[in-house]
Amino acid sequence: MNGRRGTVLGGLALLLPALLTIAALFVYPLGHSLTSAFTGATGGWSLTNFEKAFELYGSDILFTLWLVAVATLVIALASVAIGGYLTLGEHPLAVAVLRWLYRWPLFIPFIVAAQIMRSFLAKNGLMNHAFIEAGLFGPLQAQSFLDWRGTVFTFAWKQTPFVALMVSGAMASLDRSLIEAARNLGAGRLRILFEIVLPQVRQTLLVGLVLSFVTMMSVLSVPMMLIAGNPTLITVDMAYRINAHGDYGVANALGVISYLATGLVAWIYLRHGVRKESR
Amino acid sequence: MSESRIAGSGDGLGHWLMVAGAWALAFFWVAPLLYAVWTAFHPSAYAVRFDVTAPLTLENFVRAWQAAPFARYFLNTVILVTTILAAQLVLCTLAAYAFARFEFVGREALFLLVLIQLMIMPDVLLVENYRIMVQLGLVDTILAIGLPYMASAFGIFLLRQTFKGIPRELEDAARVEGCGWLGILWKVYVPLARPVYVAYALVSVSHHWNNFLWPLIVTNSVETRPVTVGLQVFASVDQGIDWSVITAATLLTTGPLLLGFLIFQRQFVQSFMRAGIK
Repeated sequence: MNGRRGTVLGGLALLLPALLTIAALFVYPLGHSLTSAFTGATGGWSLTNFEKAFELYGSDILFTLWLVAVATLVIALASVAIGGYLTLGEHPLAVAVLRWLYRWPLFIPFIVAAQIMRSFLAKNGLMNHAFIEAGLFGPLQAQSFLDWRGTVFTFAWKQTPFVALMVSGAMASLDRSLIEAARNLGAGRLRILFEIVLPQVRQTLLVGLVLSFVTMMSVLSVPMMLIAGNPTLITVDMAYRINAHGDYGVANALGVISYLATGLVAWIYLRHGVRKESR
Repeated sequence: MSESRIAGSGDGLGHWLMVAGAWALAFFWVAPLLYAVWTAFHPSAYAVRFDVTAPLTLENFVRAWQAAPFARYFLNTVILVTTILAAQLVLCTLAAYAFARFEFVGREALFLLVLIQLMIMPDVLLVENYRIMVQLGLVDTILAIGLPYMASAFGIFLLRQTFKGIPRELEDAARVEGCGWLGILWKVYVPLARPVYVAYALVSVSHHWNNFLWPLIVTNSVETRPVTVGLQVFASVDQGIDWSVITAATLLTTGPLLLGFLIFQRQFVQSFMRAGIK
């Protein structure tokens, strides 16, 4: 009995430092953010901040969800392609080069990635110059990619290595005998990838995508530097409400909308995980 | 026989298509980085023009270094990432051990709280976190940048999974040898989880080296700003658009991280493979 109580108290004692930090710097601000978002100008409960947020930034909210969803999809495709090639590729040099190259953007800060892309994807940037010099189109046809396309590309470029690292790690730890058996029966690599490998690493892929979705929802530097004008991402709107208007109510309402979206994604992941564990 | 030959030739074509695709993807992937290196080491006239005879120069790095107090920004960033990592390693190790090996009422609920924290980035709570830092009198300090990230949900989650995968028999053996909880943690769990610590440390350092929004809001002096916030000076219109200097500055800020990755590359990748994140 004493041993059991000791175990309980020991566990709680070990948890205490982290719990206190989480309570002070996550639960408390989260609660305060929620109450602030639902508090009107007179101090009572109100939906005014949300009405104002949707009125001023409704299109930005939809744009944010759409853009981050598209980027997540691109990341999923690129990660599966990279992981699949690293696992099933038969050209050793190509596998080695891809393995060496794909991880580099992981260590580039978002703001640095945005800086690089801002000059690389601009109308008179190196990408267009390379296309023009290759004769793919003339100077007049060159166009700037500093909009949603550049933002999606930057998000995908920056986040794919993280997901691909997780996915390729999971793929590498799979039992090779099943893959070899399918190969001996004449299954092509795409079929092996989608019917044998991918179902076994789906949960890992999902974790990576959820974490990437959450990360992208909170990035300010990329939309701030790559998207000029409207619509833009809600992190830019939050910064604007605070810096230009000192409007914490609407900024908090936008924050609540942001973590409702990430919360929904998290709920899908958790539900999927719980269902899998209960099987 | 003929069927297998047809299948073989199709597979050969598919093989070469995949090889070509992989090379194209690899080149496309690395192009922005190659571009950054090219412009940083060449005069501005070659910023958007590729010419193998273009002269090499370090002038862009000199100009970038002089345009902002990078030495101070680097020092601030190193202090920041070291402080955060040290705190995370202690807090996450203790919490993960408790979640993995102790049974107590509310364990699942508390772990759910950690998972919720994993899904809500501290950045979206920046307004309230800023208020807390004002109340604590910590605005414009390096501690204020790091505090919201110290009880890392990802760290707790990752280490809990690793600790759960360590055989109980090792813990029992250590207990027979006279180890207490902390002794078992220190002598059994921590050494066996070393690859995961390396992976987590690199992810943590890279994330906080990269962080921009929160440091931008909570700091307002050269003495506390990290490199990412310092880099913003090159994004302002009054600096003009000199891509060579911009890319030199970006390489300056990210250089130490890339060097760290090169040194720990093998451990980092193996750690992710062993971690088995699900």
